[in-house]
Amino acid sequence: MYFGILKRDLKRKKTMNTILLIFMVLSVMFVSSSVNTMLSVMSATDKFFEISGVKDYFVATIGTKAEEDLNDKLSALSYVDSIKSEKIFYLTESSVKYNGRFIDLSSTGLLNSVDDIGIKIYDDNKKELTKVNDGEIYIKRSIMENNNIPVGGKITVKSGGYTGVFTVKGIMLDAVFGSDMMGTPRFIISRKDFDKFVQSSTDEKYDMYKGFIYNIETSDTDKVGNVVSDISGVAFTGTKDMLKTTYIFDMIIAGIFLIVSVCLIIISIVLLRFTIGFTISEEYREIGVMKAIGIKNSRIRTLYMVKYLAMALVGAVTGFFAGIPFGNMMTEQSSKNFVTGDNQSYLVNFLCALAVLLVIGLFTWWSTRKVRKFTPVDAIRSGESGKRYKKKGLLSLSKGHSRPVFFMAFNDILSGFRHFAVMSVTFVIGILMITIMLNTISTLQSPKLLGWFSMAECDLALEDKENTEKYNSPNGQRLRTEYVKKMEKTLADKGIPAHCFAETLFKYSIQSGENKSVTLSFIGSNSTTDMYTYIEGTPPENVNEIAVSHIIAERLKVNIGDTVTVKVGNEEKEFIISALYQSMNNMGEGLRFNEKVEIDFSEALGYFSYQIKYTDNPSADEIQSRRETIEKLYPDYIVRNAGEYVDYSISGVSGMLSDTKNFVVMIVMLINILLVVLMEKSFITKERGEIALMKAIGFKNRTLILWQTLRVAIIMAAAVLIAVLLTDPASQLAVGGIFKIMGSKYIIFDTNVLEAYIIYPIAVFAVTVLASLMSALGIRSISSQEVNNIE
Amino acid sequence: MKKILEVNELCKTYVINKRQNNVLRNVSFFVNEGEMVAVMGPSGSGKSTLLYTVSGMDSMTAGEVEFDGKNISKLKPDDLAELRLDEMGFIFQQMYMLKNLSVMDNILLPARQSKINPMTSKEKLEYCRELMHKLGIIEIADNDINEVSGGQLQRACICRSMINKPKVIFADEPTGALNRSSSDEVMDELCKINAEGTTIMLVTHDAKVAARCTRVLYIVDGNIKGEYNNTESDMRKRERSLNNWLLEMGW
Repeated sequence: MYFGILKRDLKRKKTMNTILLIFMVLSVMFVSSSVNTMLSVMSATDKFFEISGVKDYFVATIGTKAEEDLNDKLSALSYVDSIKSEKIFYLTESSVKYNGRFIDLSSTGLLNSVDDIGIKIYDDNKKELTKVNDGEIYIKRSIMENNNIPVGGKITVKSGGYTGVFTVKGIMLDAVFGSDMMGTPRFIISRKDFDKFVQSSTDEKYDMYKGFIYNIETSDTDKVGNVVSDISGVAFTGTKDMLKTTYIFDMIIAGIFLIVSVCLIIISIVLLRFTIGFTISEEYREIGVMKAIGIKNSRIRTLYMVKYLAMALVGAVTGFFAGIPFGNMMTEQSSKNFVTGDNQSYLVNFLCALAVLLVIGLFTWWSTRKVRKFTPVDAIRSGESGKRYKKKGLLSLSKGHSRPVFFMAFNDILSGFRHFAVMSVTFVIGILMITIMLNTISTLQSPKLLGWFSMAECDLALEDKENTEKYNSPNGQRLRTEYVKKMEKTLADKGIPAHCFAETLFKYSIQSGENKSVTLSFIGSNSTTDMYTYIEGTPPENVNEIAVSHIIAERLKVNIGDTVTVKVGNEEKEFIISALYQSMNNMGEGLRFNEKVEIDFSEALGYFSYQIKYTDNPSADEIQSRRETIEKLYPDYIVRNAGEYVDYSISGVSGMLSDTKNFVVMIVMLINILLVVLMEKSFITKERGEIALMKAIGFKNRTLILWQTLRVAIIMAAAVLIAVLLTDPASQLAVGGIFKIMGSKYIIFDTNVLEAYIIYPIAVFAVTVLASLMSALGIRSISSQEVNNIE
Repeated sequence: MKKILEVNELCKTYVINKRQNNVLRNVSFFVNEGEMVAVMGPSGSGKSTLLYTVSGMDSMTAGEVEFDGKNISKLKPDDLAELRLDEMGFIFQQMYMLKNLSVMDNILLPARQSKINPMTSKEKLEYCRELMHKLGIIEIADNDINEVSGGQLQRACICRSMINKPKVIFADEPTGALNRSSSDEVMDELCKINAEGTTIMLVTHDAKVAARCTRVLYIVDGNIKGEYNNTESDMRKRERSLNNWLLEMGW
């Protein structure tokens, strides 16, 4: 008999049962794919480093002088377990050409032989790359994307005494040099091709193009670091942990997916809780009838438990399979630059499906608990006993002047918010997912971020790709300062009042007592230290003062007022720390000299773009016109505004951020559409009688469709408002931690108000309301005679 | 006397499981302005279908229905809805109301929705109060519909049907769910409304209710089998006379 009841129930309440089943499938799908994504994202860098065989410490040397010294010193250390060295060739900005133009490397590049490389590298299909054919080359994703180099494109590579033409075979995933923060891009060619570079560069004049990378296995990276800091010819060093942090942008994207995953799990639980509660409340009348004819509470409860668990089982199996492609899609999107082995664990999917099954069981048990308390009459009255009727209408039509349709929409929401709670929570979470992500992205692309890159704010940045070598001399500072002053005069002659300045980068060792670090060091040309942003203290106004990043201060255990020793060239100089700042260069490490400090620019590691800051307050049109003038004045330079410069500095991330943005918006819209369509269908099913009554008393279809749609629109509008209000604290909570890893002590999110709070919410609002409108069209099929379905 | 409702050769057929079910077969009748007409007949004879079809709530298979000179069979769904809102009132056997609205808001709703009702919002509210006062339910104005008795609720439904001052009120078993005393109270109110000039067409099983109408149509198997005019002024005689006629009809 009970089986018969179940069978008829499933058939008779086809719409509601189908809706519930779809929600169950979605829940299993979301939970299993989200948990898989979370597991993958949380350990992505660890897994990538582990399977790539990245060693504890690495050193890159330039020239041939450091080789012997380093080998001798490192092999003598008891805490160094193994050293693997790779021969490399350095590539400058004028080394690689595609279609007759130098490609943008962002920084100095490296050329390696596939047979010589000290770690495992992977192709775009995440398969280990062990062989490269002669004449072929593999390069980093961002280099290909930023320079529009297609697979199969021919590039010309020149280093030392050899120039070769190579066919781009594909993207290479490289744990050590593959991150977007790691400016140095690596190019991989065959052993035979590499040997051609070696054989053609035996002359001493080519030594500056040669170098080594040492992959060191050690139990004490600090001690190795101290030893290496004393050796000249070291271009850069790093620990495995520091390398991991260079994946910060990937981690931010992964972090966004982590947030998306957590949100999807919350949405799934909310969906299940409310849908089960909602559908069981629909069963009260039948529960009452069963109680009235003498069926025991336990039997009634079991009946519904069996029904919901049977549906949950179907949902779990379907969701298990549906979750696999969805999870793969999420994991792929979240870890484009990582190789993490198997993306999907079927065991995880199975356990998630099982967990959802249990949760459904619990929710059903919880929702049917009232069965015990109800008298048959209470149940027939939909769970409300005659003496305890709750006041439903909170608003009054008689007290206002609003149109009935608006009044009814508001009144329904306020009277039965429980029914709209699932939509409200989902909409708020969805909009938050978008606004948090957009705020993160606009913060990463904000001109304000210049300060984080150890630069002063400016209006334009002019990149000189080919002529910076002229400053590689002891009087480089004077030459550079003269050049930017000349630039100021040229601009003034064209009626552009501006302050021009430039930043030069060095790598120096800084020490306080036993604590030592090799760090990026900055000095400005024609700038003053008060133009930069500090988080504590005062700018280093005197030559014996410096500012250090708070990461360096923490590492050296020093603070403002303490004295540190910096090895500038061969001279050890003492400086008093006058200020602390935050930086995203080199994972927050850095120091800034007063501009009057005498430094030999032949030791310079790099030159940042010339910066132009207008001294008046030009209009937007004027800014554009000035840019055009400057582009004509300096045709060899790449001119970027501050926003473009930041975007360029985080090259490779912009595309990924944009993909992530589109993916998350698509997910949110899909969830909203699914939810609204299903909820609207269930509302229409539940309110069929009332809709018929309203038709009977003369309400038109379009009025009723508007009424149903308005409710969703009101909930959506409220959700947008709530989400906008919650965005900042939620962003701090969700993404602030990731920024801290980047070296930021505090973060003020840069909000693109138009995009984050207007365009995207309106787009989601429009799509959601449109979905609601389309679903509400089902009202047209309800006849006024169905008034007899009213409960 | 002006005919407010004129029905000619009205047919209604339902197809269930590929079988045709002719519920109304060439029904013709009329209702004059100011009349109170009862439709009686055995269960399944097509009484309610007739009421819903002539009021435009249900479509017809064939025939014509003219309401106040308008051929409703040719009206579009939206025009029919407007007609129901502004010129017709409905009372159902069950006291159907919107759960989330108070009793007064339920009554006021059609008035606020009407675009041709010339009264201002304030006047509509006043008229709503007046109606509720007249029907003795003003004290439950702000109550939830779950908080009042069936009789009170049915009187609220009558108020709702009256709020736009309709030309005709259609009532489907308006006393069917009420006890005798509530039933009498509701009929008293309907008679008063009719006396004030509103035409009423109702479906009932109750001869006592039908006896209070001016005319009774008896329907069997989708056809009007007979028509009875209540001419007696004494209510007891009127009931007796109607009962005799109903017996003749096979009631």
